[in-house]
Amino acid sequence: MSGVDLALLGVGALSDALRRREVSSEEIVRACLARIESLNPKLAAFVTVCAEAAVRAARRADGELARGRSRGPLHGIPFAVKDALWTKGVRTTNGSRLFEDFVPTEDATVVARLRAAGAVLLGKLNMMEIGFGPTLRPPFGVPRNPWNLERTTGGSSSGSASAVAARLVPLTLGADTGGSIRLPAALCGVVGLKPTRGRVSRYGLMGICPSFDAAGPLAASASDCAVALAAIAGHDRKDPTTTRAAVDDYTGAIGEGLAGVRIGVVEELMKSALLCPEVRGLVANAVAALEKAGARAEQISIPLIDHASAIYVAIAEPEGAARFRPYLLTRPHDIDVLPRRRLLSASLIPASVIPCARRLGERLRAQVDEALRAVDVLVSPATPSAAPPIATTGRVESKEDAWTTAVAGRSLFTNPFNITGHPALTVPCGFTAEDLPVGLQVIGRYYREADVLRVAAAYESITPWRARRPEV
Amino acid sequence: MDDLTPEQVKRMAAAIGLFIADDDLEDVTFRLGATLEHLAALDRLEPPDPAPPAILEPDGP
Repeated sequence: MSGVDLALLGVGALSDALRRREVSSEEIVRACLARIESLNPKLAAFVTVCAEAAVRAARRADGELARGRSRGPLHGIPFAVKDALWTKGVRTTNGSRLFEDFVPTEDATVVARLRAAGAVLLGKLNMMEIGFGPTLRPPFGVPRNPWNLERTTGGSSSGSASAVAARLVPLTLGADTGGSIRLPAALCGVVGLKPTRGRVSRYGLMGICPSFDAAGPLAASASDCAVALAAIAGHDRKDPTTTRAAVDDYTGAIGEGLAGVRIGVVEELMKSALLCPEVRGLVANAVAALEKAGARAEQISIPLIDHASAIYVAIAEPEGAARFRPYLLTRPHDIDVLPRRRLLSASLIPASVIPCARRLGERLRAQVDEALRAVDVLVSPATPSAAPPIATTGRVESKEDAWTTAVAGRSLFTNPFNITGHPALTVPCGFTAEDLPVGLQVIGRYYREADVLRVAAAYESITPWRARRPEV
Repeated sequence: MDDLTPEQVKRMAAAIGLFIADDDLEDVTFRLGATLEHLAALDRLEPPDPAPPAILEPDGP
């Protein structure tokens, strides 16, 4: 493929080129490695690059193709994963000094499944420390947003989003407890999908909160996410919380268009006082574009969603605090100041709030289910604003400031669907005046990832956003 | 709800074996105060279950 920078292509285009034997997996992997070498010093997206192992794996993939054996659309495609996912023989830090020497002896199921599908692991991606909120001084470098290096990537799957946005790698995996796939995907202008609870195995994910943790893909397009989800979804005997429900044909749903699709705009989220007007306008434009393409849109009320952040905090924070209590007791100063303060505060939340929060969480799920009986998908903003500047102090100035900036404000549009377990995706829906991307969140019925992928792909096809790339 | 004081927060932490350094104390106090205030609102939405606890009969029915 002369004249084409292979690293700039998505999974679909690379897969087609490999199938036609126009390019080899080794050439793709070397193109990505060159781009990582050139740009990672600016972006701090990768914590570990497995260059030699990746080239060896690519040669094996090429050898299989030469013998006429293809494992499918991911055969020979490079990928990288959040450093919270176990990788056999490759250090897995969870973004923390606490785990800087941890080398797993097996792969997380999602990693194993991508490898079994023929994909080639390029390395491990930077993240907010232990996935528990902003990190002031990340031990493996400050992740920077490819659209503006002074802006945050969001997180906690920071490198998973920035690496795709900067085209260091066409496909990544992240993990999402309150929005940790969707928030950075939105702020970095890529597609990120949190699957339905139970759809994808969490075995080997160093999570925070077993009630809400989910693993999922990030890529430059909905169709690339569909290919990845098809590879990682399905029951896993190592994770008893995974469902035996049949895995849909996600890639088949792409291209079905929007005719007759009913879309519910979540009224409470669009009216949120914390939503920046510019983001509200871009999301409204996205809804208008969907309607113009044949969808029918209506406002839908989900009354309890205004209380979702409190419900989320009541369940997720104590679980996170319990998970990391041994480290808080023995190595508090090996944890960055911001997650340490969050863990300390979370440790003091009384357990008596949890039953009430769980009952309210079930009521919220019933309200979302009810809304999704009237429409096929729900939409909302993914984040309250575009990427803010990288924090330099992280200091909380007051109790009021603490709630909106440090405890619940960032994830208020995403955490409701971790509570309820519904699948949710973010797709770029425009740019602010400062040329920063904004994400549209699409939420579907349980196990109907195909619906959210279909709507996102149709939206991509009628708007110019996917073609824009950051100049890093 | 009265605001928690830093000293109260420090004592609460000590009761469960955690030490809060002075540098962290004000921040943790703000965070915890904000969290408890918002969680109190949940009780108003979903009052504690009024059902009486089940009577356990050690000898069975």
